Amino acid sequence: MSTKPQQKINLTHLKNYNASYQQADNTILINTAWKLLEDAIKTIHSKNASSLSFEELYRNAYNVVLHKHGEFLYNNLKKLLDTHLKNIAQGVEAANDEVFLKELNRCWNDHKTSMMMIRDILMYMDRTYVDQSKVAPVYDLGLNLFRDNVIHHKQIKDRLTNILLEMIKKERSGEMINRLLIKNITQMLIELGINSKIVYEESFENQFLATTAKYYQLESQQLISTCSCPDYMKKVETCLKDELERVSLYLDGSTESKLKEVSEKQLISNHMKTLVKMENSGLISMLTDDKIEDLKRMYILFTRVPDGLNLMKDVISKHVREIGREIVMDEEKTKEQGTYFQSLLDLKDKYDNLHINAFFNDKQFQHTLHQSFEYFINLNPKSPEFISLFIDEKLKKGLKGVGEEEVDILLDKILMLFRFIQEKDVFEKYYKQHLAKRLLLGRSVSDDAERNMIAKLKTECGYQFTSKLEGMFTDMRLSVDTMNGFKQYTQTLQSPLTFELSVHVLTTGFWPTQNTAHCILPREILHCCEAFKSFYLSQHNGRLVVWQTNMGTAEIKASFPSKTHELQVSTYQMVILLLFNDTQKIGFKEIAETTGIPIPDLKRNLMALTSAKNKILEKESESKTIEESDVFAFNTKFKSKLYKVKIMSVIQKETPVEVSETRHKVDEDRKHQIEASIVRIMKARKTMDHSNLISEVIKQLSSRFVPNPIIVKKRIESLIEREYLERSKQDRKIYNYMA
Amino acid sequence: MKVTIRKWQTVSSWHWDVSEECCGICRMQFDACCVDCKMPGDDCPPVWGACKHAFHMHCILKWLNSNQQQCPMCRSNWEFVTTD
Ligand SMILES: [Zn+2]
Ligand SMILES: [Zn+2]
Ligand SMILES: [Zn+2]
Repeated sequence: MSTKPQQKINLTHLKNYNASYQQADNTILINTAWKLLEDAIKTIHSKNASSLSFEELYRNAYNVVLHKHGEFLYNNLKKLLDTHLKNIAQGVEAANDEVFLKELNRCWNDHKTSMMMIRDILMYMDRTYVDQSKVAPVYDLGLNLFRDNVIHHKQIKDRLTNILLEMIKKERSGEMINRLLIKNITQMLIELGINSKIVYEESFENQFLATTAKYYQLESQQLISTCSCPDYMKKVETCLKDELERVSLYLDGSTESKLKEVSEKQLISNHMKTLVKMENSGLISMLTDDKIEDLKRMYILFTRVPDGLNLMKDVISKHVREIGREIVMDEEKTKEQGTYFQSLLDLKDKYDNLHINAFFNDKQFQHTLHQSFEYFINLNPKSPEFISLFIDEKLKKGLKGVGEEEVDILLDKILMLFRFIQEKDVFEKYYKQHLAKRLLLGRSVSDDAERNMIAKLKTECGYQFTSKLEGMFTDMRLSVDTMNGFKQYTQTLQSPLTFELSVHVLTTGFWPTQNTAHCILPREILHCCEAFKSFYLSQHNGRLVVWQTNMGTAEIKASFPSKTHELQVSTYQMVILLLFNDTQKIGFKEIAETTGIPIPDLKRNLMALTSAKNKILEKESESKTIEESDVFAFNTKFKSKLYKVKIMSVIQKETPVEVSETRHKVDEDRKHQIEASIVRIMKARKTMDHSNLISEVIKQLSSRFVPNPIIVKKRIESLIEREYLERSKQDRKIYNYMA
Repeated sequence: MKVTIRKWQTVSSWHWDVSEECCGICRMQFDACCVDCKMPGDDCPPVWGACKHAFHMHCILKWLNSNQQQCPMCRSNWEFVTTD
C-alpha cells in the first residue's frame, strides 16, 4: 500500500491525504480483525480452540497493533474478558457449598488455559503496546479481572474464606478433607496476587490466623484444666506438629512462621506459668523425679516462645537454691561432713546430668545452676572447712575398696564445688591443717595422690595459692636430710641420747604452727632437744627453733606388774606419763602446772589415758569428764593381750576458741593481702580515685576471698597514716602513691 | 612403775631471729620470702645495716646493685652488720 509521492506536490497536503486515506482503510481493516479475534476468544472460552488458526489470529492482532490501535484492542479485550468472567462468577455463585470449591477450581483452571492461549495470540501487543503504555500484560490482565469479578464477588468472597476455614476446622477435629483441593485454591490465591501475597492474605490467611488463635485459645483452656503438665505438653507437641504439616500440605510457605507464632502464643505463652507451677506434675516435680524426657520437651517447647526459657531458669534457680539451702543448713547433715558433702555432690551430679541430657548443654542454664550453687554453698560459713575435711578423708591411708582412679574422679568433683566457695583463703587455712596432720603422722595414702591434689588446686587458683602447701612437701624432704645428718652427729657426742629422736623441721608460715612453746619438757627430753638444736643451728644461721609439742608421737615402754607394754602416745601423753616415774598420785592442777599443757589439750589427753579401752591411768572420781578436782594414779591392774598398745587420742574437734582464732588469723591475713594489693595497684597507677581503687582491689582479690569495702577503706586510711599514700590536695577522693 | 621413752617423733618449727615483721623494701613478712624466692632459706636471710634496719638479703643486694649506697629507709650510708 505504499505510494510514491510526486516531487512537486505540497508535502503537507500529501501527508494529510495519506492519513485520511489510511484512516478510512484502517477502520475497516481493524474492525474486521477485532471481529475475528473476538470470535476466536469466545471459541477459546467455549473450549473449542482446536478449530482456530493461531497463525491467522496472530497476524490480525499484529496488524491492529502495528497500525497503532493497540489501545483499541486492549480495551476491547478487557471488556470481553470482563463480561465473560461475570458469567463465570454467576456459575460459581450458584454452586452449593459441597461443590463450591471444586467449581471455582475448575473455572480457575479453564481461565488460566484460556488466558495462555489469548496471551499467545496477542503476544505482539504485550511486546509493544503493553510495554509502552505501562499497562498489565494480557495474562496478568486476566488474573486481575478474575480476582475482581470472581474472587472479590460479593457473594463469593466471604463464602470462599468460610468454606476453607470450615474444612480446616473439620480436619483439626479429625475428619478427612480434600487437601489437594485446598492446596489448589490457596495456590490460586497466591497466583492472583501476581507479585504479592495480598490476595492470599486478604481472602484467607488473615482470617485463618484469627480463627486459629481462637481455636487454640479454647482448646488450650480445656486441655490445661484436665491434663497433667507432661500430658499437656505432649498434646501441644502434636498440635504444633499438625499445624506445621498443614502448611507443608496445602498452605503457602509464608504462613508457617505466622501460624507458629499464633499457635505457640495460645498453647505455650499463655499457659506457661500455670504449667511450670502445676502441683505434682509441674517443673519442680519433673526436676525432683529426673523426668528427662518431660524436661526436654518443656525445654524445646519453651525455647519457642519469648521469655519461656527465662521462666524455666527462674524456677530451677529458686528450686536448687532451696534444696541446697536445706542441705547446708541441716544441723544433722552438717555434723557429719561425709553426708553433707555427699548430698551436695549428689545434687551437683543430678543437675549436671539434667543440664546435659535435658537442657541440651545450654550455657545460660549452666550459668544459672552455678550461681545457685555458689549462693547456697556460701550460706554456711563452714563449707570451706567441710570441703577440706572431705578431701582429707579421701587422701588418708586405709580408704577401703576405693581405687586411685576413683579417688581422682571424686577429687575432681569436689573441686567443682570448691570453685563456688568465696572464702578460698579459709579453705586454705583448713587444708593446711589437714595436710599437716596427714604428712606429720604419715597418714597420706600416697605422695602422688597428695601432689595430684595440689596440682589441681594450682590449676584452679594459681601458684600463689599453693606455694605454701608445696613448701610443706619441701620441708618434709629437707627433714629427711636433716635427720640423716643428725644421726651421724649424735655418734660424735660424749653423752649419747637416751632415746631415738626424729624431728620434722617446719618452716614457720607454711604450716599451722605457733611461735610460742606449748608445754614444759622434762629435763631428759630437753637434753636431747638441745643436742638437736645445736646441730641444726650449726647448719643454719640466724634461725630460732620452737618445739611444737602439740604435735608429734612417742613410743614408750611402761612396766606394769603383770607385763611390760609398749605404748604409742602423743607428745603430751608422754609428758604426762613421765610424771608418774616420780610419784604415785597426782592431781589435775599439779599436772597442769608442772607440764604447762593448755587446759583443753590436757583434758583431752587425760581422757584418752583413762578411757575404758586402755586404762593406763586411774581416776578416783567416777565422772565421765575430766574435772579440775580429779586425782590420777598409774593403773597397776592394766592388762592387754597386745604388746603394743595404741592410745587413741580423743578426736579433736575445733573448740569455739580455736574457731575464733582461726577466724582471727584469716582476718589478719586478709589485712595484709588487702594492703599489698592496694600498694601494688597504686605503685602501677600512681594516682587513683577512691571508688576505682576499691573495685580494683576487690577484683584482684576475689579469687581468694571477697573483701569487704569498709575494710579496704580502713586499710587505705592506715596506708595514708604510714605515708605510703596521700590524699590529693585538690580532691580528697583521689589518692597519690608516695614513692 | 617405770616409764621410759624409746622413740620420739617430734615436730619443731624455725623462723628468723628477727624482731621486725616485714622487709623494708618488698614489704613481705620475713616469715614469707622476698619476691624472687620460692621459700625462705639460707640463700636469703634477713640482714641488718649499721642503722639497724633489716631487709631480705636479695632485696638489699638488688638495691645496692642499682647504685644506691644508702639504706632505703633512713638514707644513711649502708654497712652490713653480722648478727653472730
Ligand atoms: Zn624483701
Ligand atoms: Zn630472696
Ligand atoms: Zn636504715
